[in-house]
Amino acid sequence: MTTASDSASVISARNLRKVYGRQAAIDGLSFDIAPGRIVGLIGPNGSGKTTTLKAILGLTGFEGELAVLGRDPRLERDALMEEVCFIADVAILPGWLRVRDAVDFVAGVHPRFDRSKAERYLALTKLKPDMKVRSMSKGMVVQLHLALVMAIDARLLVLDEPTLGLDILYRKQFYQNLLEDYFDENKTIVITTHQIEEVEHILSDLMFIREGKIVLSASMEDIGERYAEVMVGPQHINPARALQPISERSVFGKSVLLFDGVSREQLAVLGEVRTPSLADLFVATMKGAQQ
Amino acid sequence: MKRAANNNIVWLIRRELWEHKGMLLWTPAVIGILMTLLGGLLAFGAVARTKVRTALIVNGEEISWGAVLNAQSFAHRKSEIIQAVANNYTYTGAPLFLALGFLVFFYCLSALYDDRRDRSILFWKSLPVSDAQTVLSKAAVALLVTPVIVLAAASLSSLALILILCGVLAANSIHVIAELASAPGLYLGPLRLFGLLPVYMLWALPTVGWLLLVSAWARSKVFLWAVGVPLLLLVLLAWASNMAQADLPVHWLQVNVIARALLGVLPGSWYLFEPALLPAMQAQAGAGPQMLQFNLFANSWSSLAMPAAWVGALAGVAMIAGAIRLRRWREES
Repeated sequence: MTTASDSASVISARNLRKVYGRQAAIDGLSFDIAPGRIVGLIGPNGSGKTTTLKAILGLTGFEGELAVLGRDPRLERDALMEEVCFIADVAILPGWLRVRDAVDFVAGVHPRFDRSKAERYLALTKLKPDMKVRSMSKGMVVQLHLALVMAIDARLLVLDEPTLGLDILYRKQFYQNLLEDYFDENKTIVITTHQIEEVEHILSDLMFIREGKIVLSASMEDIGERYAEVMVGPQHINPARALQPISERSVFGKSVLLFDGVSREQLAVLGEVRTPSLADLFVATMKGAQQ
Repeated sequence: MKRAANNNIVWLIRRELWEHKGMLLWTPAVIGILMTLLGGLLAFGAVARTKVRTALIVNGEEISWGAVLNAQSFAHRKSEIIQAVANNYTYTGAPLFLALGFLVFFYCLSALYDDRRDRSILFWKSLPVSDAQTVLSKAAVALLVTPVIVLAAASLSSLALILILCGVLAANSIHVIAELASAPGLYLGPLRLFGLLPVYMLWALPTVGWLLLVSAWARSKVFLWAVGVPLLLLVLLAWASNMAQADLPVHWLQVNVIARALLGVLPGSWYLFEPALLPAMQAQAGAGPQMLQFNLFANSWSSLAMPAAWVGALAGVAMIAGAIRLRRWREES
């Protein structure tokens, strides 16, 4: 890997804006994603996550500047798709498609597809070459799609709610396969999902998006340093509140306070300090933005 | 890059055949087989009936039909009939030609709509295949692959029918097969059918373009948009023409725009749009049945001398370009 674009960002966005009617779906987004990261793009429904992904994939027009692997997805989508892969949603493979034909087709049109790799994945599942998508369970469709995608040596993989509607076994399996067999330092993964708990342990970076704007963008290490959660007994509640927590909730009669940028030593005197879960951080951030 | 594009188109066409196997392969095959079976049944029925009176009495002598038809005095007439049959037997494929019109029509309507409806478009768009390649592969299936399949089915089933007829005649001891096999028309028939393919493609282009355009654009009810909008336009225009007592070119529009947008996929549609072609054919048809087939071929090709054929084809190409653009940028909600 010696080309100039490799050292730079995989995705570089400046002032992305997309308006549907009068509503801005994304409103001045700017961010950079470095190679070898797994980035979670997290936000409530209608926050602009999917529009952002569509812009990255060249599926929608937008204002602003965007470079994906050094290319403008509006103008160079066809070339881009050789190095970018995406799973847009579950069960979007057409019902008439047979496993064998799906493998043949992708092998036929994709220069970076490794057929033997796909067949190895498929051999681990219950999928048979003659099966049609129509006759598969939702989980099996995702297995097929994942087998196809993981056999493509893409530099950027975009996942939009990849495990929606799957049961817990398939969901676990999905992320496990992704991490163990696919991901390496030359690849970058961008995931949007509602199920934050599920991706929490695999993400390297995090972007919270709300009403078309990024409200938090940080690496997981930064998050661990910046945010802390303290369980405070009633005797310490007033000094704790004086440190201006960004959220407060009560669990079993104790208060749990979430702090942004307060040192852990300072908090340790008040009670037990933990790194907050992403779900709690998400709720706190979204609430904060509403005020 | 060029090679990759060709390679992609081949895979995309294969993809279409997987998806529409029932429609594009089985429908022509089944119609062809049914036609052959029905022809066979009719032929055997004819044998069964004529067996009852297999002989006729001439001057008090019993003479079989076979003897009459094999007689030297009948030889000239017989070869004429055989030539006529050899030159025209491909017309028996008519049901398949009609089916071709319907197949191409409904194929085009669903071609760019079905994968948007089931959202599998996002899978196809995740592969390094350009939207132009996708749309062009679908146009190629409509204009080339489907007609070739149907013409092959028509050629095979009409050949089967003529062989059945020979068999039936042979059972009545009328032997024509050797003479038929030496008739050039027998071999030229299918060649002429395939030879008309370029004419068909050019006249079908506007309809294929229009249907692909609607198929790439409509969010639902593709058929209603594709057929309803032109018809509504026509009704409005006729109404306006009546109300204003103006001489709006309603009839011209009906034939040259609306009909060509909807009916161009029927084989022989050029006679529908350009009735001027017909008198020329009829004038020469007097020369005998042998000429008729030949003229249909030459006459159809002569339709390409008409500017209308090319104007329509250009409009078709423009609409296909529009479909490519829509395929690239149309957003699914």
